[in-house]
Amino acid sequence: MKNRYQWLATFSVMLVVALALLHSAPNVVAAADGTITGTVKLNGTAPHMRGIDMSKDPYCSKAHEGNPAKMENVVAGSGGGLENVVLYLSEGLSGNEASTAPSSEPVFDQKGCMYVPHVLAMDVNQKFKVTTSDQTAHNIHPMPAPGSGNIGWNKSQPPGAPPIETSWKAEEIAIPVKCNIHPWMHGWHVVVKGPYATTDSNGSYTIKNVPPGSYTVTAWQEEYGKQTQKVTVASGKPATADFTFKGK
Amino acid sequence: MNMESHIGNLTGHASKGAPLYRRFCVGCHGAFGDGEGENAQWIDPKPRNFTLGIFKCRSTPSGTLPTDEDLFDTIGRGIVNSNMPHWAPLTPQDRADLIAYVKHFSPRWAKEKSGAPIQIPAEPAVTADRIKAGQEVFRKVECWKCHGVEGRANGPSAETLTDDQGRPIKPFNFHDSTRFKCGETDQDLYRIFMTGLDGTPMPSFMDNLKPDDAWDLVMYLRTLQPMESPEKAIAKQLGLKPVNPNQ
Repeated sequence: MKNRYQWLATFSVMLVVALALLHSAPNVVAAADGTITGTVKLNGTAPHMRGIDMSKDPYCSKAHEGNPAKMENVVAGSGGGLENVVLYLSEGLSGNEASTAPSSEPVFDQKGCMYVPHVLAMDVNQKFKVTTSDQTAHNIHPMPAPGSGNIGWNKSQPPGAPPIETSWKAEEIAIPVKCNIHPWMHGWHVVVKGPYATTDSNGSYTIKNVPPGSYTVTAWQEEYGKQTQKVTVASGKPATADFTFKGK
Repeated sequence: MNMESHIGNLTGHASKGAPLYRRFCVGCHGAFGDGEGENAQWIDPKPRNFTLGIFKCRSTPSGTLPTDEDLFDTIGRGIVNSNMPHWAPLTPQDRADLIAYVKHFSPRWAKEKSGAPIQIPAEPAVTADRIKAGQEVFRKVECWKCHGVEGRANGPSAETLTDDQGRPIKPFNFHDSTRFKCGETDQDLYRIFMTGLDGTPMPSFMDNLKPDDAWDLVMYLRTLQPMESPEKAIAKQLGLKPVNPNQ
């Protein structure tokens, strides 16, 4: 009888150790040195972007004297490259990957009564800054969807105000941000999990720090919505994923 | 329905608040607390949607939940320039029970704590210098963009303002009323612009105003209101002119 209990005790200890090892195993992350690069293009002519009448605030209209500001819902370059498209890994992450540069702080600036950049991507819980370069007062008013896990707020930033440093708690694609004082000011915070990238003026992007593996890459554009592609990333070898959005 | 509220030594229970809510609140705020009661279609500003857990009158920073006392005060006070009457005739216990029931509509209270109320230092004495300094604050942080240079709700941005649901909303006209939506005392006024009115275009100014600036602004804002006050008398003596935005 006694022998049997001893065996049972040994077995339970082994089981606990085995379970502990199994649990800790996913924390060993493969070197995240893979990249995904590509270009996002617009097929067809870009829609007309309406000019913005800023005459209600002389400071704003003066900032764009001779070169009136335009809406930025669709920003297409001469080669058809789409700017401000956010690319992220919507499937295939183990949950331990950090953003492209977890230590960096993305900046959302108010300049000439426009948001620069118009679309700001960030990782969940990644710190970012809201700054103002303008000599006119703004209010920053992000409005996350109810139930998204993010909570909206509304803060003033008069000229010379210090940056607001904050972060978003939950993944959300995407949070509209506006200024009530300047109703044309409209931007987006795109909160994703893990590595991400935003296209430049040529529509090119590179997602860095991707561990080898198979992923679904999602491209999000504020007017055209989402597109996805399956991609396999090998260590040290860039994978490619090009996207084309169709103009309406 | 296990939601509780705590106001001083009162404890409110959602289960006791439910029948009170069905009797007094449901007509406007609706059975689901979504602000879609049968009267809602005739009302502007619209009744609060409790499921969002976003409230105008808070002593807490923008983006945080109000305290139970904040909600208790709102029920007791009512909201001027709206259809929300003051519910002071209900006993404090009834109001505490109602708060507990109102809180049960939003999942926010299950996950978050109320924000930390802002500290309001003692009010300094009214002086001509403070009123002039307050006017400078009014100009500098650009209250006039919405409220207008004279506080008549006719600033350059006034016409295009919308609330978080995209419905048109008016800035407060200081010449219209002795009371504000979130109270009438100097402390209330201080709290309103420091914490902002969440769900509306009115932002929080607590990151940009020191307590002294804030008190100066309170004193200047009093000079714009219709009732006689020491502030108004001093402004008259000073011959205070409206701010010049192009200065």
